[in-house]
Amino acid sequence: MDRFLRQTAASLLATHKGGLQELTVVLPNRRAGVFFVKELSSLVNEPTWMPRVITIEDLFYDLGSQVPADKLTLIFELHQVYVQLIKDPEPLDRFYFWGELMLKDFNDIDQFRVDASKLYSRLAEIKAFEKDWSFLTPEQVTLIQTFWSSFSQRETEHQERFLRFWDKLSLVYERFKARLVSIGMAYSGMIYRKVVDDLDGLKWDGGKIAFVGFNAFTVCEEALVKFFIREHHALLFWDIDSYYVEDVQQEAGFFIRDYMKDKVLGPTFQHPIPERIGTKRTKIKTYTTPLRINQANIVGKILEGNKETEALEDTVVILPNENLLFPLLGHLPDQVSAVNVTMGYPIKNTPVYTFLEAVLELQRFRKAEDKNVVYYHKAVIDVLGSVYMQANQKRHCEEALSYITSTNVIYVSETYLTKFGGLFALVFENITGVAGLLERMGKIMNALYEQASENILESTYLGQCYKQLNRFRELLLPQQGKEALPLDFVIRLFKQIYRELKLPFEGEPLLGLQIMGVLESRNLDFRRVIICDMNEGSFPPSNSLNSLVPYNLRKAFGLPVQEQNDAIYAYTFYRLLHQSEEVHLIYTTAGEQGRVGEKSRYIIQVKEEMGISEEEKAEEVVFIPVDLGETKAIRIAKDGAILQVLDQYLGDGSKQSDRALSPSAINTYLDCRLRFYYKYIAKVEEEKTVSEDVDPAVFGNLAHAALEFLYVGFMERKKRRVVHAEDFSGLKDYVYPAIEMAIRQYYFMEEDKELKLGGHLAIARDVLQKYLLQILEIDRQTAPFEIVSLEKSKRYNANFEIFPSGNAKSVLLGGIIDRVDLHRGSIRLIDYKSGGDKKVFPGVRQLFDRDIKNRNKAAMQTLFYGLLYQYSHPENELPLKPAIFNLKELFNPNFSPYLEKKESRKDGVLVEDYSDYSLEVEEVLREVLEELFDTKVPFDQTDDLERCKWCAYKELCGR
Amino acid sequence: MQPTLTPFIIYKSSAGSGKTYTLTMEYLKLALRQPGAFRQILAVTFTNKATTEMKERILKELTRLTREVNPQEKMDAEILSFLQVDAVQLKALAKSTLTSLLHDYGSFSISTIDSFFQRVIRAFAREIDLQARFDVEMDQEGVLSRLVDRLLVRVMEDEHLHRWLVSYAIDRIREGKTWDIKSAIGNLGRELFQESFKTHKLEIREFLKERENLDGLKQYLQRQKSNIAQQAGEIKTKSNAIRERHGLDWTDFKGGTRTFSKYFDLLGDPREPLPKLTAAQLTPKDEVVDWVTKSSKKKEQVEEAFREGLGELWGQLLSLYPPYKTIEAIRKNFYVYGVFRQLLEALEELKEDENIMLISDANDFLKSITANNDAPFIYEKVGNRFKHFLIDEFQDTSGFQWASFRPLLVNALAQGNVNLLVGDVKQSIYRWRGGELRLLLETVESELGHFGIDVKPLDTNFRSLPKVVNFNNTLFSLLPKQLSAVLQDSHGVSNTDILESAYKEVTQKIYAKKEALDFHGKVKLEFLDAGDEEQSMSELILDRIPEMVIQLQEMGYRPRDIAFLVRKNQEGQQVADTLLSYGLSNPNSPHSFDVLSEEALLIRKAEKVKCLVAAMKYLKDGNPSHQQSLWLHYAQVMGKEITHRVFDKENYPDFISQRIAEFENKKLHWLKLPLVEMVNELADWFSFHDQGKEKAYLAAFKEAVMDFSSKFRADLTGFLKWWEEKQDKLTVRIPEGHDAIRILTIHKSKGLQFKVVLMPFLDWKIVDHSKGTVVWTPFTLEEEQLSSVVPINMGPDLMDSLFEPVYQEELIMAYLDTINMAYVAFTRAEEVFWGLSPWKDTSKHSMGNLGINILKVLETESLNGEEMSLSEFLDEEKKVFEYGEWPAIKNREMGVLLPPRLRWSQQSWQKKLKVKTSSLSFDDQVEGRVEKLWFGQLVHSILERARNEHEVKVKLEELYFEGVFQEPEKNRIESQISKLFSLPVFANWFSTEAKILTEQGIMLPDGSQKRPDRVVIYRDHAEVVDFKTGLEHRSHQGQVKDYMQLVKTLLKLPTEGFICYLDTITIKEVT
Ligand code: SF4
Repeated sequence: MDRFLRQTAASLLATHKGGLQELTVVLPNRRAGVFFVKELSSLVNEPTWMPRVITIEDLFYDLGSQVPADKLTLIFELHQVYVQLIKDPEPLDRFYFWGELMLKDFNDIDQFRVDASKLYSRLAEIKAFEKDWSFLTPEQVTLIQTFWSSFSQRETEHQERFLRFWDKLSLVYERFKARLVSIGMAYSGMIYRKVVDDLDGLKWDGGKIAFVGFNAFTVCEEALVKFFIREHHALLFWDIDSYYVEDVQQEAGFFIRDYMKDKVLGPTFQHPIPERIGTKRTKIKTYTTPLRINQANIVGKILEGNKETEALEDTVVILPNENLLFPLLGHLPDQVSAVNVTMGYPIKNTPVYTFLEAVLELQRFRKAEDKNVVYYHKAVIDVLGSVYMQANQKRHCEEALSYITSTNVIYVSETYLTKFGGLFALVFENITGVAGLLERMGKIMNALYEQASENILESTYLGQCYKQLNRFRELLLPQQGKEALPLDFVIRLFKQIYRELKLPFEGEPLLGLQIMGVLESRNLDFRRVIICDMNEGSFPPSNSLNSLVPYNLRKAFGLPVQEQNDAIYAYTFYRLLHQSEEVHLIYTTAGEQGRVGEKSRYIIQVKEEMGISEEEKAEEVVFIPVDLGETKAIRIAKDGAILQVLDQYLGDGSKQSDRALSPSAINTYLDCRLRFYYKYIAKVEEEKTVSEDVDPAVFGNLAHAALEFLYVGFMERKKRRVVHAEDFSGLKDYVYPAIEMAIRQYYFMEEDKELKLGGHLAIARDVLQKYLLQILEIDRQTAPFEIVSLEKSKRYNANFEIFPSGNAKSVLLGGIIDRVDLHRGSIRLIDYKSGGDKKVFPGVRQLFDRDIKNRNKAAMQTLFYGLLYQYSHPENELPLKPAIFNLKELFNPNFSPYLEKKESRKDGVLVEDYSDYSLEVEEVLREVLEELFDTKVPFDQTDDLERCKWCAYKELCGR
Repeated sequence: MQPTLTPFIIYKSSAGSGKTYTLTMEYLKLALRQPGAFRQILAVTFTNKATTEMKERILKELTRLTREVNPQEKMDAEILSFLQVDAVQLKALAKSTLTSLLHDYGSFSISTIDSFFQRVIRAFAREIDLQARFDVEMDQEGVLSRLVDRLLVRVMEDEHLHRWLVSYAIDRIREGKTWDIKSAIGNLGRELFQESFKTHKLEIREFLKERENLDGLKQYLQRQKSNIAQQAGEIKTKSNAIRERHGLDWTDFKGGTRTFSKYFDLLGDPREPLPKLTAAQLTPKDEVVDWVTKSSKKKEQVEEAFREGLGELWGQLLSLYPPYKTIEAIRKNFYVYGVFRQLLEALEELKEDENIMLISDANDFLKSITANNDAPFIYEKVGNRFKHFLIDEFQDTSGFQWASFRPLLVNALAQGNVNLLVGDVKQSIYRWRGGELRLLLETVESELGHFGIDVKPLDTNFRSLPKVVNFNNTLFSLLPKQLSAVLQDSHGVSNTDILESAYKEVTQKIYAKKEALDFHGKVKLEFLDAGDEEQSMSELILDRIPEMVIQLQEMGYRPRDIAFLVRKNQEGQQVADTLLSYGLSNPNSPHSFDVLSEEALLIRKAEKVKCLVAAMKYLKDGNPSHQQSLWLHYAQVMGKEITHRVFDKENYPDFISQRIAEFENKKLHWLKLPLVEMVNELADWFSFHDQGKEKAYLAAFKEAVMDFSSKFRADLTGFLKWWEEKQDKLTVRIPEGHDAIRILTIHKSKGLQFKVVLMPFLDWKIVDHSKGTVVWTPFTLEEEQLSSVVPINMGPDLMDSLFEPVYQEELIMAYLDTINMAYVAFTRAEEVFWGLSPWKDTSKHSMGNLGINILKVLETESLNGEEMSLSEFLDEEKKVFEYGEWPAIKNREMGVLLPPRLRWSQQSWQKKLKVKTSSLSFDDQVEGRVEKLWFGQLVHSILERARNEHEVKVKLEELYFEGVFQEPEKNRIESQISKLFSLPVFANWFSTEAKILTEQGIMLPDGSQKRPDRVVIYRDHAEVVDFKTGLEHRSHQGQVKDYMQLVKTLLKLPTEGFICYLDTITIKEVT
């Protein structure tokens, strides 16, 4: 292999025997420069001066004695000009991306030395062409005419909008440049153009100059190169192959063919043009795989074949898409002992940065609430969840998080958050304006840095972030003086700039396996080339020529269009084939976000045109078998530890059990044995979140509490337990306060604080009011009644005998009954429900039958209350009447709260007294409990997947 | 001369009729005329996948034509005759076209309708007020839920909205629904993205702008309702008066305890003034026999009561129903409709805030662009000019899409260019997504007929064996007639022509090559009879499934030849579960029960993935339940037994206790890793990479993490949230040739084909009102001077209401949907179609589902002998339809799939690579503390690169623009530098008198390099300068001496050496 840079180096050494100190070597990029010096060094046999090695950019900036200002500054400046010239200009934040486009166009205009005033003029009529336009060829004129003839006689609305803007662009261009000149700034095209415009006066004292490895010049570059050829006998070294130069169809030779015909450039070509592609047998292999990430596994496999003796630096892996870098690095085999990566480490993926971004986002979700600043809870939670907050204020984070979830605050106040001090103070303290924001970000970075001190990687990220922040601050603050920048915009800008920030890797660039992007491979030659992402859209990248100048006009005025872009990428691809012996092309059939991947045109071209063998044409399809592992059904056998937990529900006469089985525990057990196990035995916690929604459970809780407040309050005020119909008009006034109290209690809100409710809760509150009023109305109609007990004030328990495997045991059952009252000679056991529970049930046995789909759990529960009540009050002789106040039926004029037993095709019977059913209830319940305590029956999963849908443990079960 | 031809061609295709072949041929005809002709053709496909396939197909044929032309082949013959060339010329043409296509590949325009539209929209972004950069949002459900959240936040500020929503909630509970309005708003809110809504958007917005309009409508509804209640109340009073007068109870009337007449008592309830009546009850009772039972003891009294006006009262009652149904239909969606204005506003806000364009808006924008501009201008802006459009799957095109495309098409046609549509109304199953089959059926022809349209049927079936084709030909000629009769009989719908016209050309020819085969295919339909057995129908069906699979495999079919088609994923899951458990309980069976259902392809189904997700959740919030979950899934992956100990912290089994401490220790380490690396390291730590199954799932999961990281803020919390939303959509892909039985929905099966198609659930309901189809219907109140378009839910309640015509139209389309679904499903089969359906007595049973209608068709004998008589093959006894024989048993070989060649083992990149730690350490930068060291280094880096004083300034700027330092530091550096320049020795080093070498080192023969900072060459001597920061050090001298020595030999000049200490501004000469 005779690497291009080595060849070039040898040739320069040969012609500059006296040393190279007088020589300037211009290369397309820095990387090529490094390799070039390496090649040179390996060729000398005595101490020798290095030449000056620079890029063409450096050369222009040197000659122009200026460096371009950064993009942000330029766009700000552009906007200043823009607002003066355009009617109803957009504010900076909406302008930004348009500005970016304009700037790019201006840069092209200068790089390609286009007359902006001509480009940006209306050329609807041919007449306009007569004077001053002789520089255009007839084809160019036709292109321009085609464009302008597409305008209708009477302009359409869109055309009018287009023209309104178009007409001003020439002026914007001129004024913008004038403004930049006056403040001593420039964008790169501007410097280029100036250098070329002043070529006549150019003094060059840099000695001999050589241009190495170029393929495509802009107009300015071409002019400069030609100048050096003419005036200073510049040397040119072309890195080309006749395969694509000679075949006019090959876009890779697009530029070269022109240059060869050029009077000045033509003679710099050495003939014959090397003929390597297509003659030297390069081994080509194509792979395809369904997932992008698996390309890394393929590369890993290819590299495993690396022989120990082989120099690693002879292999290059080209990654058109840098996402693949880390998966690839992870899969490198051991023989790859050194790696050199030209791509940087993306800061945006580091947790440090994501934390910074979360802090910024926080500012987007803040609002002022009476002098107080509050933050939207989701943004706060995001910040609190960060490892950096957790790392040194873990306890505070926990406290704050539990405060937020338990009180369900939608907006969390600054006062609350900052009181924890430390990072909390830095992150949550109110910020004024952009300046404040940026200063604060600096402080936070500083604080993180102190935390990170021993973690070198982290402090390096932070250093980089801080560096960028400095610049950002420098740029924005003066701007801020001119025009108040919306915080949102600054945050968006910040994110955008940081997202592109990369941290370079350390490493000896010349050692080890080379991993690089497409464009960095220019001028370098490798024995083995592996290219990933050989997909349309990656290599070549998708059409990204974005411009405000329509296609035909760009073409007419010689601005680059897609063809040129295609030619450049095609060249980089074929160039890699110049000297390689082994080429591996990998593409994927899946694109990003579930799209379909299309193989690169280069693969098709190579197969069609390079005359490779059928065997080489065959693609290796690399798939991974889809083999779902078996998820075993979960059946937890009752071992000793479990029995111990279960035993806590038992009393044996001597010792009283300390825990009671509630009806909901039994319902859980009936729904799914495993769910019972999770909840009551393994005690798997459920997740708590802040919910802006009021789900049915919360609603039910609020309703319960409010009703309790209401009647407890009544009894306290009136000092009596009997409620009469006349009492209700008075009671109504207490409904609203009772609800507020319930909400405060539920969400732990302090009493003196004003109650501010989020949208959904505000609606829920009003609905709750209706609900309570309706219950009162129903109670009024049934009054008088005497309240026996209310909710928490009394627990009802029962010691219930069972005989699992023949041994007598006593289980403690217990529960809270929402309301017990005495009404027309019956004890009513009332349960409030907010759902759609039914009161009809087919029979007692069916209430405990787990196989029944719509088992009536509410009926089971209220009958269970009957049992509890009777056990707690064995003396009771009154009928016990279970009752359900369910929201969905409350407004039905024929509302009745009582249970009804109804077998199919028979008339229903109202449940007037629990004791009519007690024997059956006890019998069936006993069966259930005996099964629960039966050591042989494991806790297993329900077959009914419907039940898993809303189960809190479905993640565990994987259902 | 090339022949002139009709510019507009419509291909009406059918299943398996070689649509892609035809499109490819037509494409080539146009493209081969000149090498560059392809640039002006745009072929539009429906999906991304179809795009890739189409491209591949064209390339394949084109490549073939460069090598061989076969005039026997239809494609080649047509191209030859179209181009009027001979084979040799064609080869040459193909060659040059292929070359120019491959080298201008970007102009090879095959694209989905969406991506073409997006290109145009981007070109017009400025003119239509979009941002220069915006994201296209595909996830409409996500947008919708954020939208509803926004609406509810507005409640806090907007009192009117608050009250409105509260009355809505209360209205709902009054009707016995849950009070939660959120999901209800979401449901109707989905309409915002639908064309059917957008068509009327302006009117609706206009109507809702005025609060009075809404209030007016509300009052009208209330008034109407209470009117009706009042009238109903009167009927109740009057009827009861009559009844009582005759001493009767309602149970004395006809029907006894179930008499219709007791409904008189339910009238006038203000909540529901009219009770729900069955269709039989909802008929006039004008005859005395309607009221009285012959055997009634009170026959006379009843007859008296009837005569006194009960019959009439019933008539009055009936007349209340139509207006009542009308207002109820409006009321149903009224409250949500009332907040559409706010929803629209919130949507605009949201799009602006997030800088997104909804994918569903693309059609709107495009419509406005093409309506607004002439085609040439559009092409100029886009930068492509198309003369020929080839549009595939045209039956799925929506009204908006057509409206957008039409101007471009008209433009092309007007210039006499060839354009082409391909579609099959029979395979239109995307109506719910806006697909409008009428376009293909009639609209296009009537709108563009004046250009001259050449309608060409594609009528040969290349896919299926003769018997399958014959069967489908017959079934689908008869089924539309059958269903149309059902529509007429049971729904009173008259205008059902569309059913039959869509299937007018259903009959396909048999492909000669298939005819020549031994095996002619088979269709078998079993009608299962549950009888009186306990077993439910679905059990009966599922029990049958393993047998079917076994039987097929006995005949030599490979698992991958077999596909189950279902309508709903849930049915598919049942089939999968059945086969799976059958396989487990018959481990020694020679047959394979490997299945791939859509569900089984979900990434989240893999235990490894579950374990990783649980681990990530646990890392995030430390919640012990996630810890339990992670070890549980770990146990599953490792195939360990799940016991109580897996959950018992105190007593973990060994495989957990050995690892848990290390896991806990590494938590912080993992948390500080970027997401992609975190997942990698976790998977590695669990040894998931190297061992066990599920690697495809693991890889797909990692890819999802990678995708997420590149698109969003890559933090753990965000990822887990995203995962929560996306996990039910992310799937692994099935490798080509994977040998498993496929289970898929009919929708997913479109465009695919299988040797054997099994359809175990053939009996779906034809009209499914549970989907809650909404139709936006114009509605006018003359008296109130109100008119708007209101959302009406389709359902049988609309019969007799003002909205009946809309409902009937919907019914017709629903029927057509069902036939189309059946058509798609039946035509997927190449060799065997095998279906199961419950047996029902067609003379008695209602005809509301597909299965019974198929049965009915099978029972009918051919009337005119035109069609094949299916009833011959129906065994009424066995309730089996069987047409064709089974194939001869043969062994079907499958290609051996090689195990993939991949490297799995994994290691951290940090072992091989380090990030460059910046010399600018952080300490130095904060709070303006510019430490000496750093400061010196900066000065150093400026000086070493500058050749003269001017360049010093330039380099300084450069670093400043890079953000290395800020203004104050810049000033300090400048002053430091000017202090240096005040030293004459120093200034000399930057003079233009001498020749100065910076950054130019000396290469040594051993390949190493020496780089003095500066070599200043005068005519008679040279100076070597090295800049240093920090303190003086002896070694500096030695280094510079080395340099001096080298320079001296190289230049052959006396050489002096200097060290310049930048911090202290001292210069030391080296001697
Ligand atoms: S997910 Fe299903 S099986 Fe698992 S505990 Fe819940 S209900 Fe039982």
